Amino acid sequence: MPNVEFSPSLVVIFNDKSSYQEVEAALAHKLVELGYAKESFPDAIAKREIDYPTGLDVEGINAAMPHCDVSNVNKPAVCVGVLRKPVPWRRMDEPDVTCEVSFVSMLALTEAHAHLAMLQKVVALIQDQALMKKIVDASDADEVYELACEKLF
Amino acid sequence: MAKRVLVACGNGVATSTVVADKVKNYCAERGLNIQISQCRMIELHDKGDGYDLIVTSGKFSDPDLTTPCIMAISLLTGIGADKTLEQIYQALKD
Repeated sequence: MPNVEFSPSLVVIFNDKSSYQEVEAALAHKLVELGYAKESFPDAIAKREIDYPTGLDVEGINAAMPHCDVSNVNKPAVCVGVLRKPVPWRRMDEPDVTCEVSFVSMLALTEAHAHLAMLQKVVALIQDQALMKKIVDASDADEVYELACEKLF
Repeated sequence: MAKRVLVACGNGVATSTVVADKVKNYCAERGLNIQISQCRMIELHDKGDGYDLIVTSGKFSDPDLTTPCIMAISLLTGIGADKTLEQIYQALKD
C-alpha cells in the first residue's frame, strides 16, 4: 500500500476570512492539480460535508478533517489548510452547530479501513493543542510542514 | 461468543477506522475479545440489528434499531475519551 503523502506543496495558508466551502474547494483542487485526486473529488468533498460534516470541537484550536469516498482518489495524500481567520464549520457530532476552525486536514485516501497509522497521526496532531498553536502561528507553508511533520512522520 | 461491534462514520473510511482501533485496543486491555466491523452511517439502518453495539463518530439516531448506540466523537477530539471507552466496554462486557 502506498504511503500517504504530505509535503510543503500540500499546505495552503488562508490569510483572509473565507467560507468553509472556499477552503474546501481550494484544498480539493490542490489535490486534483497535484494528481492525488480525481476530477470528481471536489464535488464529492462538498457533498460529503453537507451530509456528514467534519468539524471537530476540541474546545481550543479546532479542526476539520474533510474526506470522501476512495473512488475519487488516485494516490493517498493529506492536504493541510491553516486558516488565519477561523471559519465556522459544522460539527461532526452536532451537524446543526458550528465551531470556529483554524486547521483543516483534507484526506485523500485510497482504501477503506486502511491508512490507520496516518489517520491516528492526524488525530494525535489535532489533539496536541500546543503544536496546533505553533502551526496556526507559523509564518509560511514550509514552517507549517515542518511542524506538522513532528506528528505526521 | 465474542461481542459484535459495528463502527460507523460518514464514509466508513477514515474516522471509523480510528475509532474501531481505539475500541478494539481498549477492550483487549480490559480482557474483552470483540469482533469489529465498519460501515457507513447510511448502512446502519439495514445492518445495525445484527450487532451487540453500534459506535458512531457522528450524530446518529434510528428509532427502528434496537441495538444500543454510543457516539464516540470524544475518541477523535480527546475530550472525555476515557469515559466513552469505559462506557463502550461496560456496554459490551456482560
